[in-house]
Amino acid sequence: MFHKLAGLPWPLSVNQIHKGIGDGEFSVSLGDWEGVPLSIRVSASVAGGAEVVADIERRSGERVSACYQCGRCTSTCTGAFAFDYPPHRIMRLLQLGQVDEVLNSRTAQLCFDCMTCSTRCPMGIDVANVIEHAKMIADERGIEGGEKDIRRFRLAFLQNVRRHGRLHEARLLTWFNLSRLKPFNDFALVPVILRRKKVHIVPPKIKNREEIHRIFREVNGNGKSGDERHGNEIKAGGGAE
Amino acid sequence: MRVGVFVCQCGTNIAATVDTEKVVSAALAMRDVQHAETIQYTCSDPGQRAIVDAVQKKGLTRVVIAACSPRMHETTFRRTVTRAGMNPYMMEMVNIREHCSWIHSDIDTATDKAIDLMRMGVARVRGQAPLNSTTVPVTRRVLVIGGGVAGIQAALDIADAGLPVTLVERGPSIGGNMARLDKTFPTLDCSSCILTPRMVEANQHEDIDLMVNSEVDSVRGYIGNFEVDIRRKATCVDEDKCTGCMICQEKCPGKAPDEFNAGVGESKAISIPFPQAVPMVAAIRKEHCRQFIKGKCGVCEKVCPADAIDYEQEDTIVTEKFGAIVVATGYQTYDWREAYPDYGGGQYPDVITSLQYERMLSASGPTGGHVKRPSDGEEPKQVVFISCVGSRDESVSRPLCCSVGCMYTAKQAILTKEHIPDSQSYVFYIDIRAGGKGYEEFTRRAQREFGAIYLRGRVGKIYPSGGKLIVMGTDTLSGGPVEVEADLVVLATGFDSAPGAAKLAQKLNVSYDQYGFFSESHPKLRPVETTTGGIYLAGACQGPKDIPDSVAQASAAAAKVIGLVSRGELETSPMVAEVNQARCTGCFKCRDVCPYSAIEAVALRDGREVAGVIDSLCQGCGVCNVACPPAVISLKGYTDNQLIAETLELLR
Amino acid sequence: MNSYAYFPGCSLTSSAGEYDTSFRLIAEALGIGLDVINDWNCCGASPAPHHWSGNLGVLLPARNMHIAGYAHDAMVAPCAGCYNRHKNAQYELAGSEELREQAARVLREPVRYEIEILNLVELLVREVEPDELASRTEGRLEGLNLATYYGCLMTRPAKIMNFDNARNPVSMKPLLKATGAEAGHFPFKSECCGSYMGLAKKEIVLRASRRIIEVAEGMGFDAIVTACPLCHQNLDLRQGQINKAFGTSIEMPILYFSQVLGLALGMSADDLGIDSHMVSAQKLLGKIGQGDRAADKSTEVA
Repeated sequence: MFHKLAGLPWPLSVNQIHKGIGDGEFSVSLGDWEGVPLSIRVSASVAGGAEVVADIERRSGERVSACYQCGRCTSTCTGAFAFDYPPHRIMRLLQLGQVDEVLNSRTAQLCFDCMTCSTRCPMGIDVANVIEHAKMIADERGIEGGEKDIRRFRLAFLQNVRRHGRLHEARLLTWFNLSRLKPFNDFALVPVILRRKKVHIVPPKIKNREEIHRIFREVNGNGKSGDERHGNEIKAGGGAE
Repeated sequence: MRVGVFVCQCGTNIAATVDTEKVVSAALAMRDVQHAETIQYTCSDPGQRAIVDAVQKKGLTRVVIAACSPRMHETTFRRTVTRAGMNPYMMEMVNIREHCSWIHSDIDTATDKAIDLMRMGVARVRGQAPLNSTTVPVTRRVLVIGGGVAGIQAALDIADAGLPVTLVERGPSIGGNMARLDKTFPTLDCSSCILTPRMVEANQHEDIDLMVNSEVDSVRGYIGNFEVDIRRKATCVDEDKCTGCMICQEKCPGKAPDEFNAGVGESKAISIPFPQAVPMVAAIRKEHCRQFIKGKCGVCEKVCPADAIDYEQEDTIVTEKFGAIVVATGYQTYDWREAYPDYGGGQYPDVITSLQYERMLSASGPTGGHVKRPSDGEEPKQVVFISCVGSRDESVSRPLCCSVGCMYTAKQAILTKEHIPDSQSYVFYIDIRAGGKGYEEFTRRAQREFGAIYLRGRVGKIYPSGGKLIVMGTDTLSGGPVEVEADLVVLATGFDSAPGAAKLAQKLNVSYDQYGFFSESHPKLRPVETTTGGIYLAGACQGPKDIPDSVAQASAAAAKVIGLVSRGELETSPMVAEVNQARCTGCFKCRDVCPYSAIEAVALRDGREVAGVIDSLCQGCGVCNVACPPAVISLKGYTDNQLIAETLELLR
Repeated sequence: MNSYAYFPGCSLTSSAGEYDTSFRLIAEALGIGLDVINDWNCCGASPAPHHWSGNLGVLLPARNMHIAGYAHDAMVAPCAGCYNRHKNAQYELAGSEELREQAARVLREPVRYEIEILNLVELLVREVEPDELASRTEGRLEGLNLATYYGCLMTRPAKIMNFDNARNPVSMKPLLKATGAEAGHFPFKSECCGSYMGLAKKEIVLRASRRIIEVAEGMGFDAIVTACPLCHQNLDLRQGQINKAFGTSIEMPILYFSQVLGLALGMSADDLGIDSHMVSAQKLLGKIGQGDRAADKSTEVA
């Protein structure tokens, strides 16, 4: 009864049409568009993201709602060219509750806190602080993202400091390049650096390294970061020792 | 005595939080209360009729109405009881709305409070005596402070009604900021063309006394009877002799900043600000004049064909009486240089303000209407306009919207294209505010017909590069940062109150806000009145606005003034002080403290001098009542007995 | 003579050695006492304060402040990064009892964190009167136009650093002008050089730093004056890389504030370590009469 094209009763159900016509004959694949909504259901995303946005506001002390999207933060953002969402769009996404977009953004990983945006905001919002907190929450949730080099750099830096109490730059450079499998990165700078005595081969070492180790243990042990794994990575030296 | 109590419900405004029936019952339980009822809307016709009926049928001699604030309907109800045959002052209004139902939420406590307030009202009205208001003559002359378009309009309207006006202007010419504009939006009328006829009319009107180079020094008195000291500043030019030939300006060796042209170009120590100045009389600015700085020059005196120069001229003070004052002191543009270092802070010559640009666009301006880059005099091809400099910006303490920036920027973008056909304008904006008649269409024209490119975003920085300026902004609509290489950058600066506005407000006893804009009495219903009776506002001094609104406000203020002054007299409140002269000791402490000089010495038949109140001057402030040591002065309507009765009733 | 606890930091004791050298030289000449903080540790710079390191960013500087506070009321950290980290840590410690307890656990005694923390410019502005400097420097740097460059970390975030004006820093000007030099308006004076992204994401440094040196050159400055070793590294060490990447040929010497004052006081460029920079300052030195120097280490492109 439902199969006939003429005289079909309304309303029609897609399932019924499919069943009627026969599986396989008329199937539709959504391909890349699987799961992509036609448009953002703002009411749902605002409701869904409200807790995270409120968390960001509470922890950072900044009012996301005060942003009137003037875009001045973006106009002189140092890293805007590398970000997927420049600062004003991050603020807008948060206003619309689109927290997943923000937490998974390249911006959240790449932003290096130059605070140029914060200095320019006419509403006095510390935009860099908001992005910083989004970054923190992303990490608490274990969102790693594609910027592995930055993570590697931080790890390398910190295990270097843990070992010596001070930064041994030559070692950091070497280790970092090796860890990215780019041993010759910045290699041309090496002879210049050595000639001008800009770097010491012999590592600096402080006397009371035990106190430094206590600091690192204290940080790893209290779970404040919420992610034991990273803490252990620093302790273990990530295999760099 | 027969007291009637009427408890208003005001729909649900009162009735939702106060049980009016209970108040009625409580009233009826009081001695002397012969009638009490609750009415849904007492101020309505049926409500008022109910009062008149009750008064007449039950022979009530005193009425208490428990309703809204007396500021709303005291006058209404005084008239109501007058119609019923009573003396209007035998009616007491008790506020159980703003003072009770609107500020509490618990019905029981609110009702108890309403009952208390009603009882106090009854106690007070018991002690009331019939009072009769008097009239005081109103000075038939009006002062208008400020000679911009609003001041001129108000002066003309008032003078056309046959009332004499004194128009005081601080600068050497009237015209204000409107005279500095080239064209006006949205019609692109030439500003001077439409303004100068009014300026001339104001100068020539037989009922307008124009005083330029003058300022208000001090103000005394009150509504209907102000006394004002006007300082006529010494300009060293006799205005009756000067013909406006401008030879003095031509020959003067003393350079001076050109204030009228917002610093574009230069002026001289003796000058006429612009070619269409009214009056066309030169003035010397002593702080730039060599004759006064170095002690010798005298060039202008030598060359003046009308022998109008007088270096000995001094400031004079003219004291005049006025019935009403209209304040139309206008605005000044925001000085952006300190707060916007990112735009160069004034160091880049090719970053100018909208007013400076306006002067450049004007054919009668310092560049003869030729748009030139200040740095090299070349014609700019790429012009960038930046909106909201000093507006909508909390970080520089200017969160307000200047309300005309979007419009005048669109206008300047259009004029740029007309002046330089192969130019390209870019406008950085956040929103477009174009609410007036034809305004939206005008901004659309700027983009569609005149090719202006509108970029939505603020500008973060401007820096010089290869003789041009790079403007770093954002276009939020396309999603990212944008850069524009500009030959000239025009900043749409916001509005601040005119210099000295706050000081003038203090002299007039008028309130003002954090920007120095004068406060209107009620933002919706009383836009041109102030909280000081007899003083009215017109134009941008009340808040940033465009020319049509300024003119409309000016006419509105004029209408209020005409209403006040044209009758020639003002009804005064009868609630004035009264001295019990039999017991007055003649110490005159009351006269010492009276702010209105309303107490005089009166000789009694036995030769004793006692205090006497001048009813027409007394404003009923009550200070004498407090100051009097033997307590023999009382305030009619607020006698000590009445106040004590009220208090006792409350404490019962 | 006023004496300050001195926190050199990791950069000044290795790749930015000339900043340390020049600072010590002018401190001596100006009568400012410097006592290196005993057994100081790395402040943690940028990696430490970030998210998953927990309170590392507070505890590492806390140790330094604690040691310094034993004998001094004020400490100076010429590296803007170290300065910023210590001030931030101080701010956080002041606001959290939990953090103070944590620090006490590590240090095994209640933490001393209230020492006054100064950056290099702040210290010199406090210790040296412009008039006094003018008479000592005798206008030696007349003819030079220097671009003052503050970077990010000395003034931001404004409410914590509480130094100069974050939107329009001007603290370097009075002392530079006292030496006879011009310190004209430099629109990029507080733009970011790219920070610590040099290793992990070089493009960011190259782009950000390029603009700074390009505009400075375009505006006719003789040198950029900085008070941050990382800014110096990005602007100077990588100048060759910038030119290569963008096909430009910018030659903009980058000098430390301490080196500029040293030159003004009559010290030699060699003593001040100016020869260890990548970009040669020959032209500038020529203008102030130090042009004929034996070793002419011209700019090397790497």
